[in-house]
Amino acid sequence: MSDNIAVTGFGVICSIGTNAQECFESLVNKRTGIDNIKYLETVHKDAFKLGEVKRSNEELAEMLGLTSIEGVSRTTLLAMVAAKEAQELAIQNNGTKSRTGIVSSTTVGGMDVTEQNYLKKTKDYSYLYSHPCGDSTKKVAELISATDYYTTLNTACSSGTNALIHGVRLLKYKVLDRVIVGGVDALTMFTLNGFNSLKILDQDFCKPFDAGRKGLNLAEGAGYVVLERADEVDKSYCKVSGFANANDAYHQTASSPDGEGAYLSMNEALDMSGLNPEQIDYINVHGTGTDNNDLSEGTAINRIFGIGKVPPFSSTKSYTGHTLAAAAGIEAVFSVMSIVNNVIYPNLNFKTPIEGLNMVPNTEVLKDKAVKHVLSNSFGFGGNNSTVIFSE
Amino acid sequence: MDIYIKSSDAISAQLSFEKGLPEYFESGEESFYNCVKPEYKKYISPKLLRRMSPIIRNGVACSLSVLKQAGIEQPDAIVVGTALGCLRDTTSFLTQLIEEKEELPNPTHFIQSTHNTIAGQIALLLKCHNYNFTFSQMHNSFETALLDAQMLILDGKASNVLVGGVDEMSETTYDLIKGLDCYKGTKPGEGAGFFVLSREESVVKFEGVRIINSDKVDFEKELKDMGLELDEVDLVIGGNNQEDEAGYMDFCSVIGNKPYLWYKPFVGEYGTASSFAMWMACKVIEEQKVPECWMKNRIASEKYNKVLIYNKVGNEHSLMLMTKNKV
Amino acid sequence: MSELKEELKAKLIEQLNLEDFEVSDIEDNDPLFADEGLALDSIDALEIIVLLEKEYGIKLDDPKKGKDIMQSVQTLADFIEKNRK
Repeated sequence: MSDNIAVTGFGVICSIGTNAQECFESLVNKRTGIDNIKYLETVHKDAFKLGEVKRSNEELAEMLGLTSIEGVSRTTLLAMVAAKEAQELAIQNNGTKSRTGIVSSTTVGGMDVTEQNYLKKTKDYSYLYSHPCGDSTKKVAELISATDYYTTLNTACSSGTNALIHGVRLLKYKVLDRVIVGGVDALTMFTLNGFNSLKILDQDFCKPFDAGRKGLNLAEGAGYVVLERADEVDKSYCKVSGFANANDAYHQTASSPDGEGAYLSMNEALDMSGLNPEQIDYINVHGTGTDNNDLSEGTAINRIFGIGKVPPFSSTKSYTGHTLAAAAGIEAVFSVMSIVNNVIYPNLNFKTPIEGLNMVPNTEVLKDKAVKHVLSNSFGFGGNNSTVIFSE
Repeated sequence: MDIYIKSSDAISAQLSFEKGLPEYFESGEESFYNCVKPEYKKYISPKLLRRMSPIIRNGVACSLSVLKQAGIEQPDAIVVGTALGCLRDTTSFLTQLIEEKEELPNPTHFIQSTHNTIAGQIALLLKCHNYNFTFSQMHNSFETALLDAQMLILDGKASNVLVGGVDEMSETTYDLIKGLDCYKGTKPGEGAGFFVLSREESVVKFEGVRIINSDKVDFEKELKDMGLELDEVDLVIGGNNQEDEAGYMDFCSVIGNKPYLWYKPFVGEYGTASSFAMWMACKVIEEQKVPECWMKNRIASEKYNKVLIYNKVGNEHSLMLMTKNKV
Repeated sequence: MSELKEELKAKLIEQLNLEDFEVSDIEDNDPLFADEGLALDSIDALEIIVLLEKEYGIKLDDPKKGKDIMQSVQTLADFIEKNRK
C-alpha cells in the first residue's frame, strides 16, 4: 500500500497558531508558542512554562460559531477547530465523499471539565458525560458530518500516528471513503502535575537534543490530516508512503538505551515505503527534550541512518511544546507543509550536541532544497513507538 | 480470507474465567458488579501485581490465559479496547491532586492511569515488540479494536492477534455515576474478555463486526453485508439490560422468535461488555449448549452454529457474527 | 537512628505496596534495587523522592542524584539524618 493513500486536507491549532497558515508563519519565523501560564488554573502558575493555545474556551466557541459550550470540553473545542479546517480543505479539493469518518486520539479526554468540577465539588455529575476519550471524537464527528465511523486511540503520546494507521486500513478495506485522522489534548492540572511527579518538566524553555536538556514543556492543541484513496482524488498534497507501530517492551514510561522500539518502528516504516534511509529529506523527531527520550531516539536514528549520515532533523516541540496525543497529528500537518512548501524547520534552543551521539539538529529555516520524503516519529508511555513517512 | 477465534476467556462477576458458560449465577446483591477475582499469581508475579489495579490485573491475566490456551508465546499484535481506562488510578491521582492542592501527588497512579497501561504491561511481560494499540470509543471501544485486529490479519500484517475489551468499576466511580441517565435501569459492572484472532483454522469462525452510528439500522442489509441471511441465525445475544427495553424493540421485532440470550443483568453494564457476549458466543458454539439461566426467552435450538451479537447504546449500534467452522 | 530505619521500612512497604514484606523482612543493608534485595525499580525511585519531600522536607529534584542515597534503608536513613529540617 506504499503510495495509494493521499493527504487531501490538513488542519491544526496549537500554541503557535490557530490554523495551518498561522502555524507555518510561526515555524519559518522562529516564533515559539511556549510562554508563562495564562489560561490553565493551577497553583503552579509561576513555576512552569506551557505551550497554551492563546484562546479562551469562549473564544474557541466563537471561532466555531457555537452558541453554547455547556458540557463541551476544551479538548473537544480544540479538536473541532482543527478537524473542521482539515475537512473543509478536503471538501474544497475533492468535494464531499459518501462515507466519511474520523479517527481521533486523546490521552486526557474531557479531564479539563472533570477536574474543575471535582475541584468545585459539583453535585450534578452530568459533567462526567464529557469525560470519556470517545466523547470529544463523537462531538467532532457530529459537527463535521463524519459519523459513518468514528473511534479514538489512546496510546499516550504516539496516539496520533496510530490513528493514522487505523485510518489507512479503514480506507484500504473500504469501510470509509474519506477519513480525518490525528489527535488532540487540552492542558489540564492532571497532566501538569503528572509529568511534574515524573520530574521530567523543564521550568525554562525545553531544549530538544541539547546536552543541557532538562525536560519537556507541556502543551495543548490538535492536528488532523485528511486521507483518501489516491486513485479517487483530483487534488492532494502528498502521500502516506509508510508507517509502523512497535513496542519498546522495556519499561512502563522510560525508553530503552538502545532505542529498540524506535528502531523497529522506523525500520518497518521505511521498509513499507520502499525508500532507502538516504532518501529521507527531513526527520521530524519526537524530541521531547527529556534526558531519556532524546538519547534513546538519537541512538535509534543513528542505528537506522548511520552515525554522521543523519538527514536534517528538528523537534518542532521546541515551538509548540509537547501536546501529548495531539503531537503526532500536529507534526503530521507540519510534515505535510514541509513537503508542500519545500521547507525544513529549525530546532530552537539548541547549543551543545549530546555527548556520544554526534548529532546536530537543523537550527535554521532551510528553503533551498526540495523536500520529497519526511519521516515523523512519535513515542509514548507503555513503550509505544510509531513512525509515519509522507512522500511527495 | 477466513478468520478464526483460536481461544477466548472472560473475567466477570460470574464464574467464567478458565471455564465454560456457568450453569448458575453468583448472587448479585450489591448495587454494582465487581469481578470474581481469579488467582492472579498464577499468571503475574507478586512484584508486578503490587502496582496493578484490578483493571490491569484482569486485562493481563485474561490475556495470558487466552495466549496459553492458543499455545502462543508472542502474538503478532496486541489490540485492547477500554471505554474508561484505568479509572481507579485516575481517580486516586485526581483526588490526591485536589485534596493536597497540587502538592506532590504520587507518580505511580499517574503512570498507571494511562489507557494503554494494560496493553503496555502485556507487551512488557511478554517482551513483545509487536504492534500495540488501545482504542477508547465508549460503547464501541471493543468493537473498533476488533475491527482493527481483523484488518491487521486481512492486511497480512499478523497471523495471531490478541484482542480484548476491559473496564473497571469501583465504589468511588459508582457513587459518581449512579445518578446519570445513561445508567438508569442498569446495574453498572466491569470485566475483561480476551481472544486470539487467528488465520489458523479452529472451531469458531469470526465473520465480522459492524459499527453503525445512526437512529435506524437496516439489520437485514447489515447481515447481508456480512454474508448471512437473517433466517440462518441460530442464536442471538443481546445487550438488553431490562425486559422490554425500548431501545431493543426494533431489533427484537426484526429478529422474531429466535433463541435469545442476555448477559448484562448478570455481569453489569460497562463500555466493553460486548466482549463478554463474544466470549459467550464462542462457548456456545464450542459446546453446542446453553445453560438455561442465560436465556431471555425459553426458545432453544438443536444447533448453535450461527450466533449474532447485538449491542446498542443511544444511537451507537454494533453487530458481531460468529459461526461454527465446517458444519 | 534505628527508630528512623524502622519507620522508613514501614513507609516503604506502605507507599510501594510491598504486600509480601514485613518490616522484619528488610535488613538495614539490603539492596533496594537489586533482585536479591527488594527489587525496586525506577518508578519506586520516584515514589521515594516524593516520600523524602513529603515526610522529611528534603527536596531532591534530580532523580539521578538519588542513586547513592537509595542504595539501602541504611543509606537513606543516613541521608535523612544529615538533611532533614
